[in-house]
Amino acid sequence: MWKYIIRRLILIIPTVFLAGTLVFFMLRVLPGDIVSTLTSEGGATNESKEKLREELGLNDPIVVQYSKWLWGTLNGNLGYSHYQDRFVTQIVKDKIEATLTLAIFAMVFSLAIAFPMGIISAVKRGSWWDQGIRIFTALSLAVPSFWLGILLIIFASRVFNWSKPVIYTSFFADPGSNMAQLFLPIIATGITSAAILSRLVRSMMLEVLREDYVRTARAKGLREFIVILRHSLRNASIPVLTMAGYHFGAILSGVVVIENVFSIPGLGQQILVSIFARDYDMVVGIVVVLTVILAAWILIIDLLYSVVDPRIRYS
Amino acid sequence: MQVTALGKLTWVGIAAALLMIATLACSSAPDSAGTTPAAPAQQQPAATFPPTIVPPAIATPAPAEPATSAATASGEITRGGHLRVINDGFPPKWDFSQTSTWISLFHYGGRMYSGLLQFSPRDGIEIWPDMAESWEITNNSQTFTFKIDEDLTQWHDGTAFDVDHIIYAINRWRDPPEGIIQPRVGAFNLIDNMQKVDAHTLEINLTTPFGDFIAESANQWHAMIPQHILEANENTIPRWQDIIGTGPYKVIDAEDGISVDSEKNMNYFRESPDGDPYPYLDRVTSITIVEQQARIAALRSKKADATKPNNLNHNEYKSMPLGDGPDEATFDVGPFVDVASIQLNNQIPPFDNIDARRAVFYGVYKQGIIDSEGSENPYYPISWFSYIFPSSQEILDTVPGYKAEKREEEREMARQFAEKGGLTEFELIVVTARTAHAELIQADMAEIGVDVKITPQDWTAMIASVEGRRYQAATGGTAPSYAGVVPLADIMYSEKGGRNGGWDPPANYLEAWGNARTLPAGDERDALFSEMHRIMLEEWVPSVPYSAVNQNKFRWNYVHNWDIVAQEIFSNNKFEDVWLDCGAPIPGSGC
Repeated sequence: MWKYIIRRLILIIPTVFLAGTLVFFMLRVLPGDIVSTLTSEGGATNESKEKLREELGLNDPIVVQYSKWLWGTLNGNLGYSHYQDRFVTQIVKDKIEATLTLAIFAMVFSLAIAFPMGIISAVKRGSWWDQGIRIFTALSLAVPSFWLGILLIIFASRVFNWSKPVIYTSFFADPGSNMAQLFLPIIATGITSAAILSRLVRSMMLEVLREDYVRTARAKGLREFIVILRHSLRNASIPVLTMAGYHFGAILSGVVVIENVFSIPGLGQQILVSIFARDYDMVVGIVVVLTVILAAWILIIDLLYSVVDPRIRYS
Repeated sequence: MQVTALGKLTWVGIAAALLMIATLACSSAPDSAGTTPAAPAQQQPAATFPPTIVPPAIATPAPAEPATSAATASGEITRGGHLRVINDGFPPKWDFSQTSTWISLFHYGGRMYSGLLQFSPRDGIEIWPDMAESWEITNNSQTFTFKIDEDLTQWHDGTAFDVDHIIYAINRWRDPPEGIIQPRVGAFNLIDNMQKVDAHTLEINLTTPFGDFIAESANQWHAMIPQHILEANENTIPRWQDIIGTGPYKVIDAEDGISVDSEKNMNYFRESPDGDPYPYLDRVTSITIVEQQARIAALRSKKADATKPNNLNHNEYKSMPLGDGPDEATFDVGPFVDVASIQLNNQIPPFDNIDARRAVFYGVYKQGIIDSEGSENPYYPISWFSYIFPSSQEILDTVPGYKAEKREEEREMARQFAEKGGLTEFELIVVTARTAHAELIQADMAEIGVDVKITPQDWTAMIASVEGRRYQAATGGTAPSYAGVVPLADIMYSEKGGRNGGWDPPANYLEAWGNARTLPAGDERDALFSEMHRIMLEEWVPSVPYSAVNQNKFRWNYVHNWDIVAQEIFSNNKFEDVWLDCGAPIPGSGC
C-alpha cells in the first residue's frame, strides 16, 4: 500500500513539470508580454521598454528562461509576478483557500445531489420521478455554469432582494459568511457534475440491482433501503468515484469563470487577470499548483476504492 | 412584477454573459482596467460637454479656493457615514504610482494620497490646493514655487513630513529605480532641478518654459508616495499595510482583488470652507465586482451605496427597482471618451496612401455602428482630441458616415478613393468585444469592393501588434486621445513619447504646438490652439477616423459632491467633501 502511494506521489512530479512546461512554452506563443501590459497606456519609449525587458530577462533565449523557471520551481520558487510586484508563491498562498473551498464544496454538493437523484431515478425507473430527474439533468448539462451563475444572481436579488456579502470572508474566519458568499457559486459550479454523476449512479444502480446477490438479499427479507444503500450502492459507487475524481478537474477549471462572475478572490480570478497581463510566472505557477492539487485528488480517489471495495488491494 | 420579469431572465442572462465575456476579454489592465474599457494615459480630469476651449491649466499666483457646495453654504452637511462604492476592476499593485490603469489612483488609492495640487472635483478643470496651499509661476513659466501647507506635518503612520519627501517622489518618476516602471512621467521630464527653499517651500525649475506644468502637478496620477516606505521595501509597496499617504483617508483593511477599506484620517491637513476638517465621511470602502449583474444585485440589496457613476448600462439602470423612490438615483447620458476608432497604420501599405485611409473614412457608416448599440446608448462623433476642443457638433455636421441620405454619395466617394489608393483588401485587428462592430465595417467595405479580414485579439495582443507596427488596421489603443493637449503631445512626440499608432499629425500642427507649449495661458496661446483646431478639423481628422462613445451615468442622489462630470472616473476620488444624506443605506451620524 505505502509503496503504491509513494510510487504515485513520485509520478506526480513529472506530471506537474510536463503541465508547467507545456504552459510555459504555450504562453510565449501569445503576442505581447508583461512589458506591453505595464506600458500599454504610453509614457514609455521603446528604449525604456527594451531596458525593462532586459532587466526582467524577457530577452534571454527561451532555453535560458525555461532553465531559470525549472530551477526555481525545483527549489520551491514559482517565480515573480511583475504585474503585481509580488512572489507567485505568496499570491498563490493568499488565493488558494478561496478556490479550494469553492471546489471542494462544489464537489460535495454535486455528490450530495447526484447520489440521491441517481438512486431515486434507478429505483423508480420509468416513473414521473425518473422523468423529472432526467429533465433536470438534461437542463443542468445544457446550461453553461457562468450563465447559470448570472441567472442565480438575478433571481436571488429580484425575488428575495438578496445578494451575497460583497467582501469575501475566509471559511476559517467566518464559516457562515463564507457559505453566504459561496452558496450560489457552489450551485453554479457543481450542478453540471451533479447531473453527469447522477446519470452514472442511475445506470450503475440499474446494473447492480439486477445482480443475483441483490435478489438474494431481498429474498432474505432485508429491508429495501438496506438492500439499496448497503448492498447495491456500495458496488455501484466505484465507477462514480472514478468519475468524481476527474470531475474535480472540471470543477477546478470551471471556477476560473465562476470566480469572476461572483468576485471570489481565488486562483481562477487570478489566472484570468494574469493571462491577459501576460504575467508568465503567475500563470505557470497557478497551473503547477492546480496540477498538484488535481493529481493529489485523483490519488485520494484511487485510495478510496479500497475503502469502498475491500477486495481491491494496492501493492 | 418580479415574477413576470423572470420570463425575460434568459435574455438578460445572455446579454449579461456576453457583457461579462467582453469585460473579461478587455481587462488586460484592470480595469481592468479593465476590465475594462481602455485605460487612459496621463489623464487630465474632467471637462464639460459640449467641450469648450479651456486652457489645460491656469497659471496663476493665487490659488483657486475650493468651490463651496450648496449644502456647505446652508450648513446641511451630514458628517460621518460609510460610503461603499463598487468598481469593476482592481489595482494590480499596491504601488499605485507604478500602474497605468485609472482604477488604481482614481478609484482605490487617490483618497489615501495627496498631490502637490489637485483638480477640482466639481469640474475637473479648476486647480485647487493640495499639499501646496499656494503657488507662484515666474521666470517666463520656467520656475514654479509651491508653498506647502503648514498643517501638513505627518504621514498616516506618524512619520514626520518633509518637503524633501516630495522631491524624492518626483525624482522617482523622473529616474525610476531598476525594474520599476513609472508610466505617468508626464511633464516631470522637463524638470531641471528642485530645491527645498525652506521648511514649507519647494521650488521647481524646468529646462524649458512650460506653463502647463501646474496642471501636471494637479494630475492625480502624481500621488506622493512616501520615501520611508519605499526605502524600507526595496522601492515598492508590497502590502496594503504599506499604503501610507497624507490623504484624507487611511487604509484599515484590504483584500487583494476585492476591496480596500479606509477610514477618516483624523490628522488630515485640509479644511472645509466652514473651517471644520475634511473629510466628511467616516469610512469609504471600494469594492470590486466585475460582473455587472452582481453589481446591480449588490446595489439592489443595499450591500453597496453606489457604483462609480458610469458603469451601468441603460438596460441595467432600467432594471433597478429603485424601490425607495424615484429620487434615489438619477440617470444621465454624457460623453465619455471611449474607443470606437479604427487605427490605420500609415507606415505600410495599403494605408501609407492617404486615399486608402479616406476610403475607410468615407466607406464606414458610423451611424450603423451607433444604431447597432441601441438608440439609448448613442455614440457621438467627436474629434480625435475629444473634449479639448469644441469640435463635436462641427464634426457631427461635416464628417461622413452619419447621415443616411448621404450614404450613396459617400459610398461612391469611398469607392473612388479606394480605387485611387489601390485599396482592395486589409486586415482589421479587433479586440474581441468589438467584433460586431468590425463585422459592420467589413460589410460596409464589401459594398465598395474592399475585402476586410477580421482578426480578433485580446487587448494586450492588439497593443503588441500596434506597437510593433505589425498591423494594417486595428481597433482600440486610443488612450493618448483621452489626455489633454499637453500630456497628449508629451506622450506622443516628446523624447520619451509612447506609441502613436500611426496617427502622425501634419507638420504645421506640430509647429503650432511647439510654439504654444512655450506660452503661458492667454490670448496668444489660445490663437495657436485655434489654429491647431483648424488644422485638426480640416487636415488631420479626415485622415484619422475616430468617434467617441457616450456613457450612461448613474448618480445616487444621497451621495453629495460626487459630481458627474465628463471624465468623472478620473476625478474627485479623494472624497474630501463627499457626504451622505439621510437617504443613504448607511447615513451619516447626523441622521
